[in-house]
Amino acid sequence: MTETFAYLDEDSKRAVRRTILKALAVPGYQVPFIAPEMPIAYGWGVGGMVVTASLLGADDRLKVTDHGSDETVNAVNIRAFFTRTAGIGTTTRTREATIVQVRQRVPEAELVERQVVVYQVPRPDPLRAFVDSAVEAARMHAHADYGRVYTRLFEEKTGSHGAVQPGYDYPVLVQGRYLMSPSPVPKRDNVRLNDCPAIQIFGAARERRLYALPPYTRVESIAFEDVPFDPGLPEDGRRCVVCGCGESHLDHLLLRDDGMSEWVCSDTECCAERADA
Amino acid sequence: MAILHAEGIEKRYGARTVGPVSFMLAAGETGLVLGGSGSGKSTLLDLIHGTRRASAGAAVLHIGGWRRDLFNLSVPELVAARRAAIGYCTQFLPAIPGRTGLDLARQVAPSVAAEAVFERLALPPRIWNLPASSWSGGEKQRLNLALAALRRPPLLLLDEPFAALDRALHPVLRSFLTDLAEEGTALLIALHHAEDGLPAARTLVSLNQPAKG
Amino acid sequence: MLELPPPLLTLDGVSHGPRTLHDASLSLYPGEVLCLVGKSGAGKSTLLRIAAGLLPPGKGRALLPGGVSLYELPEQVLVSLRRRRFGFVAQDAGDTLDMAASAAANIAQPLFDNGERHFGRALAAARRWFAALDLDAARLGDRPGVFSGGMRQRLQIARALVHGPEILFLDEPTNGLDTAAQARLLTLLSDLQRCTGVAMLLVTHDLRIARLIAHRVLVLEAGGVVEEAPPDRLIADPRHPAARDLVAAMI
Repeated sequence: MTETFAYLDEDSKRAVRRTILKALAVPGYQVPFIAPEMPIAYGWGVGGMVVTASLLGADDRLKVTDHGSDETVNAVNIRAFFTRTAGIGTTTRTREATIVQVRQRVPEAELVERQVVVYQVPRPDPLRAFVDSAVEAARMHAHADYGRVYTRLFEEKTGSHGAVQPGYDYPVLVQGRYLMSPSPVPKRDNVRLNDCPAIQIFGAARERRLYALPPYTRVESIAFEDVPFDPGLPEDGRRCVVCGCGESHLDHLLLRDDGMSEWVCSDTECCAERADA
Repeated sequence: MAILHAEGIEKRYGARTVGPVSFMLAAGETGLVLGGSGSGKSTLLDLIHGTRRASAGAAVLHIGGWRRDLFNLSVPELVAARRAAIGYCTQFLPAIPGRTGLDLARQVAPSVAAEAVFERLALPPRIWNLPASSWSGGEKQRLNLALAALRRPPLLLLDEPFAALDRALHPVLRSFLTDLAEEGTALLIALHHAEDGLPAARTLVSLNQPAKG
Repeated sequence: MLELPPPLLTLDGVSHGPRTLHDASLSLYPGEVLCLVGKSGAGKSTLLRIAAGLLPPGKGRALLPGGVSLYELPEQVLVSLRRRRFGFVAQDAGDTLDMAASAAANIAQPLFDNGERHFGRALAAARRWFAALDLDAARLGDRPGVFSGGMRQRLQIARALVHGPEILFLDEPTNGLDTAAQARLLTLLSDLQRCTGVAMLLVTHDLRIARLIAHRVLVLEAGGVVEEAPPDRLIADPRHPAARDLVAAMI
């Protein structure tokens, strides 16, 4: 049996592209989406791969990162998969890429209009964190009934049980209308989703949802009028041990014998550029 | 002009009958309903207030341009008429347990300074903020009157207002009621003995035949 | 002043289920406390839920001023109208409170549901209503589960009033409380009614409670309204056998 270009058959790709168009037409709205089978298990990035597969053409150049890194097993394998099934070129430089598939980070390098960023999303609906019923969550989205999101935010600031919002997957409001999960990117990356020249597509195969942001969409992190959004930047003076950068998002590398931590840029491309300069 | 026109008011229950009774009461006038125990004085006030339903007759209340038979009002209308125009001082204190006298007054008439009324009724300030249920009988009686009078209803019904009161306090109560009447309130007072009434009072109804059965 | 204002809410011949309610009607006027009394199973709670916009009746209509028919509104409009103009206090606090959220968040939620997006204002309102319901400010951050029954009911009431509704619906709010806590709750309710002018529709099986705070009482029996009276008349001169039973049960 011969594989078709980029693994998926053309009918499946067309179905996915139709879903993408619908998602782009209603920014931030979660379009129901049955992902075709891929040779990996649900929950391991099928949503992102299916979107990428449906969009790839012979002239595209693909960049894949995981946690900002081009070199993790996941990133390497996905690149290899599409090199083999589509014969396309890959790159680690954002400016050379036409499609950037990512997981857990928004690329730090500048994005431009001709590009598409594809996100792998484990939990597409921010409401499901505190609404048990999918029907009720759908109703809330339909009515833009997001009071409970602010109650949750209020609870975190006033409750004595100290429910701490994780520093990632912090919900955003798209064009003042739909509440959207930015996927598990660090809070600080939320600001990069806003007014972005590139198309951004979010695929959640296991949860059967796909949503998207057309270029230059207004994306705001949920916040009170009188309490601005806190991007959660570290204040301990940590710096990257490779490039010395203190502003980019740093991953914990190791704990030294003297008790100090070493940190390294999560975005390997930008780190390497800074180190070379 | 009559503020209250009673026409053939009658209450029958079982073999007993109160009335029929007819009278007119004008603004600023004091009318007495006289009778012994069980003669139906309280019942008559209850009928006018709507606490009980009359079997026959009419009680026409006439205030400003509003003229209606109290016996023909719907319950919401009756409740509205009572709140706006009728004060009723019964012998029972209608109070939520634990409420102080001053609380009750504020609840009845939030915008009226109850303290002045309490003082005129010689209620000692030290009890104002104690639960009304702990007040003495005479104190409760005067509190009841204060609550009924606070909103300055055009018609005030009083059931044996002197009954639980010390003789020494009768002049206090009498002057309080006289002041109300002079300010234009129509008073309808149910009494055992006419001599307890006010100087200007007029006997409207005498229910002297003792109740049968 | 003696004329009746138009009702805030009118139920016109509502029925529900084969037996629960049949052809029940009521009007609720501005600023009044209207009690629905009756035995268990008389249909009180069903009538309350229909009036509160929570349960579409099988037959009949619920009308707002201007002839707006509650259950003919689109769902979204009904939900937002209910949230703005109504408050609901359930017999069981767990039906309205989020047990996993702090007391403060529970009180503030109706504000957020109504579009409040200002943290300081919401917190100030939560504090104010906490104090108004005699709750200890130090416990704003606690969850309802650690509150006493009486405190939970007061928390429910704070939550039901925080957004300034026109009508407060209460389903047996004093059930399960001891006598002292009942008296305290009734005192608070009557104070709040006076301060806010909110109209109350209150369901109780206990005529004593109706006597203490109601302006008007409707007696329900087997799914129908059988008697309407001011509480003093109902107690002094009950007409329907069901009303007489309730009066007898007071003593």
